[in-house]
Parts: sequence; C-alpha cells; structure tokens
Amino acid sequence: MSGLFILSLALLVDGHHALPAQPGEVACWQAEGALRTHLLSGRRPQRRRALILLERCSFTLDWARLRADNDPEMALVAWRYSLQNAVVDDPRWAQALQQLPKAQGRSVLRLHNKRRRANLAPGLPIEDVR
Amino acid sequence: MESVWSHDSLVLNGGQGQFDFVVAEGSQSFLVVVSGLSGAEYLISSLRGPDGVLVRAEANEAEAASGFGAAAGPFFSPNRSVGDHGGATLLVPNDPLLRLTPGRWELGVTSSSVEQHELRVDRLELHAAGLPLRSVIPLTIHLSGAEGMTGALGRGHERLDRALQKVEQVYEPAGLAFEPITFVDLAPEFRVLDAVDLRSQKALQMLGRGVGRAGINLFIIERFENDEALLGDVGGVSAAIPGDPRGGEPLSGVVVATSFSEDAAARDLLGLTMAHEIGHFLGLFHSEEANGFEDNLSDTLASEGSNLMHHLSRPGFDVLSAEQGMVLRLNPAMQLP
Repeated sequence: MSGLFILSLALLVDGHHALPAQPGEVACWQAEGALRTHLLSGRRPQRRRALILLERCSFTLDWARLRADNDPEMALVAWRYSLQNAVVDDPRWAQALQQLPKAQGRSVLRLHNKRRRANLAPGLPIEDVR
Repeated sequence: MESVWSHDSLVLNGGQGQFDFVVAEGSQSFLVVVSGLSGAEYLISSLRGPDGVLVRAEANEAEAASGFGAAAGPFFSPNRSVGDHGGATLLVPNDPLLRLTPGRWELGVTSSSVEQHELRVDRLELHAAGLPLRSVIPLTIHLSGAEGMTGALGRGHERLDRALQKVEQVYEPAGLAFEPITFVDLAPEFRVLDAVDLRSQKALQMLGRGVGRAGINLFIIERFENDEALLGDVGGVSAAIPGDPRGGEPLSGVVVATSFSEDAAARDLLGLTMAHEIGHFLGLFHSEEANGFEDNLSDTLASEGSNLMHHLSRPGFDVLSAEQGMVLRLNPAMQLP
C-alpha cells in the first residue's frame, strides 16, 4: 500500500480531510512538479493544500508573492506561515491586518491573541491598526 | 415502517465489555450508539449474530500491517466498524449483502480507558416489511453567519441554495430526500472551530445546539483552524460514521466550512462537501482511501473514480452506487416519505 500512497501525494490536493504531517522524501520529490502546478493554477482547495504540502516537504516558496495573493484565503495561509514564529510585538502582525480583508484579518487577530496569552505578553493595539 | 429506540448500560472492566441484546423478527437494520467518557476512545470491536461474526477483533497478518493497530480487525470486518472519541457507533448492516437475522446478538466494546466505568448503550432498530425504495430524513441547518448565511435568509442565500440543490441532486437517484429542511441561527462564536476532531468543549457545545432536532444536524461554519500555522485544508467532517441521529449528542452532526472553496459557481465545492459528509453521517465509508483501501461494497469500484465517497473531492465526483443507496435507506433514522 505504501507505493499507492507515494503516488497519490499530489492527488491529495483534491481531498478534504487532514493532510499527512510529514510526507516522505521520495513522495515529496515525485510530487513537486504537480504540486507547483496546482499552486499556480488550481482551485482554492487545491492551491491551499498544494502550498501546505510543499511547505511540509521543505520546498522553497515565494512567500512575499503568496502573502499578496488575489485570493484572500491563500494570502491568509501565507501570512500565518510567516507569523508562525513571530513575537507578539513583531510589526508583521499589523502589516497582515492592514493587508487582509476583515474575515481573514479576524483569523490573524485570533492567532495574535492566542500567542499573546501563551506568552503572557502585552499585545499590539490591534484595534487601532484596523 | 417503524424505528424504535432501546436504552441500556454496560460496565467496562480493563477497557473491555460485552453486551447482549435481541433483534426482533421483521427487523431490517439497527444502529448502536455507545456513549462513554469524553476523554477516552471507544471501538465496537466485535459483533456476533445468530448466523456468525460480523465484526471481529482479530486481524490477519496483512490487515495488521495496515498500521491501524487494534482497530484493524474491526475495520476489515464484513460489517466495518471504526472507533471514535467519547463513544462509538455502528450501523448493521452497512453492506446490503449482509442480512440481519432475528435472535440473540452479542456486541463487544473496547476502550482506551482501563478504569472501570459505565457506558450508555442506545440502539435504534428499524422494523419494516422490506427495504423502502424511497426514504426521507429531516435536515436542520445551523448557520453561524459565515459568508452572510443566516436562518432568516435560508435558501434565499445564493451559495447556500446552490449547495443544497447539489446535495438534493446527489441523493435523489439513491431514493433519499431531505424533509423537512429547517434553518436555524448559530451564535457567531461558532464561526471558527479550533480543530476538526470535534472534541473541544466549543465543538461539543455547538453539536449540543441540535438537541431535540432528530435527523441530520448540519453546521455551516467559516473555517477550521487546525493549528497555529495552518487552516482551511479541511472542508468538512462528520461527528461519526454513522452519526447519532438524535441531535444534540457528541456524535450528532456534520460540520462544513465555507472558506474551503471559492464561492464562484464553477469552483464551489460546498455542496459536494456537504453531500460527502452527510454520506459518512448516514453510514457510508470512503469508496477508496488515500492509502488504497476500499470499502466493502461490491459496486463502488475504485477505478471508476467518480464516487461521492471517494477520498478525493472533485467536481463530478458525485455518484452514489446502488448498494450505497441501499445502505443509506437501511439507516434506521430514515422515514417513509
């Protein structure tokens, strides 16, 4: 069954269930081309899942371009990756809020609040930024 | 045609327990819901009827290599059984080639909690002269306000109406209709769920909003935020396979996220995702899993690749086979039109 799984990694962009946390090296290598094609020209779920798989495969990605993507949901995923290790007073939080539409901005706010609670640190004046 | 609930309890010792019950003459199917500790996992690990074993705990060598551990035997059994958190469910039969024989049945439950504790065992049994060609089930849609979908608007919301039309189109050939369809508002705090496993307190609170609403409770949220970095890679989830049709219970509901796909008609997967998760809720498994495992039904061929219950979600993957239709109509939550 493992062979089937390797071949199907790029196909998983069409799934709607959780993606493998650590795809295998060979599976990543075999799927890279197809994943990049999906990322460029797929439907939203295909693009988002391709992005997640490419990142989990540790491939290089143009994050600045992805953060400015025309689809705000894609931009949101890119921003959340970029903010993964950001401290609570990192100016990129405010930048994300300025750039994203309201619904996606709420997601960034929730992430910021969660990070702030975890760090017991004072937060940015997020409301002023908006 | 009539479905009747029975309610019992079962004490588990060392993570194991057995439960006996009688299936009446004229029964077509039954659905078991085992409810236990919220922090523990449960699996209906064995089931024996008068004609033999339908769920077996033991796995052969090839099945054990699946990596499913103790769940391998039940997964590969003639009447597939899968575990869940806080409880477990099972539809019998979930393959229409299996027949329900009246008489004494014995069911075994395995739990991750080895502490002695009591489970609730609720069983819904369908009595009918035969399998109906057409069935209906109530559908309650809980709207969190995601993408402007509200109870007041109901089908007046273009995207929601389009999604519901898709669901109805998919299930109509299988002889299944959703009646009545009711729209209710859900507090905006439920627009985002932190995880897809529906185990969090918030998710259980949300599922609890379905209390008193039997049938399918469908919750439409904006997004799942699986972990800090990622979100949106999951389009929907059923609380269990099959789900608990009483409403308001921890395994009662289907949740889908609007942000999963675009709302442009040609690219929108909301209706397909709703239909797929409803299929799980009513007892269907993936026709083919990502790892290549297939369901037990003889007419869901993986090579055909257009089945609604395929693990992939693509436009055009919207077909239900004749046997899948029979499994759906065997669910004791169904009613005559």
